[in-house]
Amino acid sequence: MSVPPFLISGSLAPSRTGSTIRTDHLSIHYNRRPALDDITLTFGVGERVAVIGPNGAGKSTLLKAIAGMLPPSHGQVFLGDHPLTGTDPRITYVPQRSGADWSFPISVLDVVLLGLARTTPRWRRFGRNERDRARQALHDVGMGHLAAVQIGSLSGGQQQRVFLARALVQCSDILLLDEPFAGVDVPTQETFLGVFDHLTARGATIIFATHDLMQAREAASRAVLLNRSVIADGAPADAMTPEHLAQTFGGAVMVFPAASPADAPAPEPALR
Amino acid sequence: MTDAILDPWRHGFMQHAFIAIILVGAICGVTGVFVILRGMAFLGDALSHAIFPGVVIAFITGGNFLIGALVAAVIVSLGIGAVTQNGRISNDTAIGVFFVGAFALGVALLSLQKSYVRDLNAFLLGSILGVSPSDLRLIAIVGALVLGILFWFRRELMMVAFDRTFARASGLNLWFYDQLFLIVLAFTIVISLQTVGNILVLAMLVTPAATARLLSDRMIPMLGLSAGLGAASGIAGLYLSYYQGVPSGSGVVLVATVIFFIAYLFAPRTGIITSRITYRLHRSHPEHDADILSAAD
Repeated sequence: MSVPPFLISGSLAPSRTGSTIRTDHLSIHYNRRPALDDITLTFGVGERVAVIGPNGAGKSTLLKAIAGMLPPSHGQVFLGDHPLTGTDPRITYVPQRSGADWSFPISVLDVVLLGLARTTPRWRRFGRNERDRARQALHDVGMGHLAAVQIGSLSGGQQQRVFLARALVQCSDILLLDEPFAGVDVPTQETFLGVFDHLTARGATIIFATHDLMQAREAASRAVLLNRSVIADGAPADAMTPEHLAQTFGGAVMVFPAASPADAPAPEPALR
Repeated sequence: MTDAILDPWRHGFMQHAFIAIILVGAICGVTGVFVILRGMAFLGDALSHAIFPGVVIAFITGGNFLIGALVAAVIVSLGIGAVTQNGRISNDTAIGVFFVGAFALGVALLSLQKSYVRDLNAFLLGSILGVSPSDLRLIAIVGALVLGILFWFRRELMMVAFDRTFARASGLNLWFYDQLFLIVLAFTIVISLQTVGNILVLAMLVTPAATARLLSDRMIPMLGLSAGLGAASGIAGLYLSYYQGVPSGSGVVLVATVIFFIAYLFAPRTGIITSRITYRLHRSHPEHDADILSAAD
């Protein structure tokens, strides 16, 4: 889709020229059970990567490890040439919606402002500058008119947009999103795709986890199929072959070959 | 009427009691907002019982009971963290184990003392009429510390309460903020013990904050409301106690509880009865919706 005009001059510019991010033989264990095993991947500037796999495949774990939220059991994560030792302001992780308390007494604007908590001195309130940036970010995700609303009244798609706006105000180079398309409406998906286009054009790197193959094909320039270890990695059309998908999802997916609508068989008449 | 209001203030001990209950009501109200937003009411209850042995040991050894309470709170919270580490015991189960165990230890230790019955009673129900100027000083200093910590770390505590994963992603050390809040909670409970007692302190933490949540959708107004409601319940409860002879702690808590139910029934927009009236009016006169809604505000 084309970039909406409001994105042209928004808050969407990454603050610095991006860096590559690299996992080097990364393994993560939970209670001695491996969640990720020997992951070596390099993500270049401007890439849009879908990490695809079933539940429990380690998608969230991989994103959290790259975000510096989980210490690796083995291996390392590098941002540019430097190993990561914890979270880094150049990397923003957008969590799943389900982890937040949506009955919390807070407005949409205030949630976005929390994205600036790290960079605002603690002895003062959020000022005009921060508020303007937060409003701009909300505007960029099509939520400008809902800034004053209490978060409890938002739909799933709107909640996800608020999270995206909260990430945008942080102006980071690398955006990691955990299941951003789960249970959101079509306008929200389109907003996300527009924002992704814009960010990657400006040198940001986007990595998102999904189990939705359609969404991955549409939104990503590269697909990483993951099930504890990397099954396949490449352009979506190359990586998402029936064999690789079967290997990733344990043979539980039915893969329909891509076909033009004219070739599709007529639907069976419904039984009466 | 004015006489009835002013009469209790003629006694020095009542003046102390009023100042103490106002301070404690307001401080509990503020801490309580964080307690209910984190869904930690059970932990608050547990902590108030778990610090018992610490207070008793301090009492026996003549040490500072604030420090005793804090040491106990930290030990119990670390213990809860350790027991839940392997993933088999859930958090509330661990809290249950520790809180009753610690309380039993406290009772056992206290029973070894001669003046057992009187002291246990004072601990459980408070003895607000015995508040001394030095107690007031302690309440004021520790209360200022509590409010100062909550203000200084307000954004972090809010982030941890709203979305832990986001807080972690923002570089916050969740363990640190959990422990910090636990210590703040322990401070708050300790300065409340003398006024409302161990059993009823939970009500001061939870009830005004819950009422404030019914009345507001924003954190800052909620904090002010909750502090005000806590202090007001304290004053009204103390009058109730003075004129009707009910124990002061239960008087305060009963007032706070009644206010909660009034808000539950009649809060603008969200009240059970108010919202029904609004609905009825809407059904019979939809054309007046704007008036009805503004009236409900």
